[in-house]
Amino acid sequence: MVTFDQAYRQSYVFGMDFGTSDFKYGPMTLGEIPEVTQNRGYFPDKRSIMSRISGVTADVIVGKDTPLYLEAKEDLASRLIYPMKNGIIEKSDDRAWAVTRELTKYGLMSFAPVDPKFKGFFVVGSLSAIAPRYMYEKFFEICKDMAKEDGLMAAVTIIAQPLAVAISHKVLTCVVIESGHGNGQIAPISKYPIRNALVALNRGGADCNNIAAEVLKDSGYGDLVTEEAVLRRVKENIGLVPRDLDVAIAAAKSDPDKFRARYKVEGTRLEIDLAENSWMRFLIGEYVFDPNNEIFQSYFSRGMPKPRDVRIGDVSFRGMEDLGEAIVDSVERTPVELQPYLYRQIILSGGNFNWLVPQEMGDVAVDSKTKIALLLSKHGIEGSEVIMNESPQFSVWRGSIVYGYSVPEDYGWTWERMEGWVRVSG
Amino acid sequence: MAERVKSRLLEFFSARGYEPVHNQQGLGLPPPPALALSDGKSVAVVLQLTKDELVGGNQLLRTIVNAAAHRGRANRLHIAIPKVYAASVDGGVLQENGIGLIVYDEKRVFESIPAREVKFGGTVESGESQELMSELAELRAKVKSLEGALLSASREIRELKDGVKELRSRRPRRATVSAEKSRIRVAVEVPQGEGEANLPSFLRENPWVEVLSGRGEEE
Repeated sequence: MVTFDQAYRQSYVFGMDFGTSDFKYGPMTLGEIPEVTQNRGYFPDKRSIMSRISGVTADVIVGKDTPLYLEAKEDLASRLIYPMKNGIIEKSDDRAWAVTRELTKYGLMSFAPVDPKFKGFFVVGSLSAIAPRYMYEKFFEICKDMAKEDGLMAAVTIIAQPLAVAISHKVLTCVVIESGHGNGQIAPISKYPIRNALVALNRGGADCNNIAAEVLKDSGYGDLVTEEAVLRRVKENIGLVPRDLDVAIAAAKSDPDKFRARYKVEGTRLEIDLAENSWMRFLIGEYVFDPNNEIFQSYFSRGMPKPRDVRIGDVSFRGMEDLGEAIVDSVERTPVELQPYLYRQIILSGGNFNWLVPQEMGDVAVDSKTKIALLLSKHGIEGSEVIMNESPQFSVWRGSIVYGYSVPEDYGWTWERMEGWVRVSG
Repeated sequence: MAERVKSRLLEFFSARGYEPVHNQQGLGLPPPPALALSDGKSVAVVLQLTKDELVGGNQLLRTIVNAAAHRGRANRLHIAIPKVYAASVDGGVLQENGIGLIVYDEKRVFESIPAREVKFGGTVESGESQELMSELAELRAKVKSLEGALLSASREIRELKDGVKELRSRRPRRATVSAEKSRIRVAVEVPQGEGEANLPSFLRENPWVEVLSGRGEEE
């Protein structure tokens, strides 16, 4: 078996972060920031005249030039495939796997070296913490096939995204909370991801959009709720996280002018003004952290989808658990001696933790770090240091690079620990 | 000393590379009208005897004794007299004492009896300056040489330190042989110092590098 020295790995460790929206990729030599393209692929209609004229031969098109190949708008839903659904690709979703394969190849080809000493990259793929085993197997299978075809890979491994976040933050023992579009995960880490303590939540940015849509409907902007992009902007620009929801609502109702929520959609004539309903802006932020306040019941009874407990693969997702309770739940699955160390540092990762805190509302509105600390305090945990992911977009890729650089190349993959290298060539 | 005679004597000595010494009294030399001159290496003192001094024998003797008293301050002592009185001076006494005799008339100035050069420990302004300058130059050269040696030593120390760091950074942090499987482990190098400075920020001083580099050893 060919062995590689450290200088080789310093040049040819290659990170791949398969996020729900974006694919971040590149070798260690890129430094701090990887390349980014959307995690999606387009399946052109090869029978169409346009495809024939333009000479499109590929079954699936990925990468930064994808928009140049898009055809009829009505076909996009069926031909433009985003493979990850909340971090998971269905086992039988062949088109999603074809996109993943093509993106993997695209990433490696973008940096294919001409160095005659090049014997293949050490590829570190990062997947969601809730990715089932078949996703690992499938990814290894893809890599083995590709290594035979073009020799761009020497070895491959997979790292769970929360572990990569902890690694990029240089923290050995902590709890990483990832809140994505569709779900969230609480992952305790202590030199290893503690897999049996992983808690998954069936609540994320999409649910936050749902409550934002209800707020808009109640305020006379029901025509806007079908546009996902508008909902996201409203959420980001109007939504606030309350220190205490009941207190915040009372404060906002007693002084509507101070808490008035107005937002002009950039580049349009559209201005949203919640006016006397401005107190509802606190519902949007609260929902991410704790959807159990009675006030949300009225929305559920009116038909707003309630986050349900579901099971996907081997993982149970909880719908209504507040984040504080979920953290405690997760940590209490670990040995008692370890628990104080895990509570000591909590890393928040993901777009759902970025909330405005207007200065004049600092007495009732808080940031995510404070809210998590308050929720933990409610459950009897004091003194935790809650930190925000310093670089939410790139931290997983960075952690992957550290992982690939450090794990000895002769440490073969073990399913028991879910770590090590799978040699795909040589 | 008549200015004209003084001027001619200066001219005589100037032709031999001598220049007047300033502050001659402060340097322990006879005060004007005696002339003190230096060529940068030695000092000459010229005493001009007047007609009265030459006519009175005691006065001549006193002048010579005074001149001898300044021997320790000057390398050469000269007595300058008009040619017409040269015959009245006992040249033998002057020669015995190493005192030179300079004779002048309307046409020329010449050295009748050469003065004997005497080495002395003291310095005068120009000689002292020369010596000081010379010593200063020597000291500067020594300082420069020491500076060069210091720089060279510092550079060598730095190179040695770098070498030690480099060697440390190459040292495997973990055992290189897995006893159970008797296979050679490819150790992960944990960069330190300058080696580490070349890495991205997220790799520098990252405790995970060491933790992960030990993966698989416990098998």
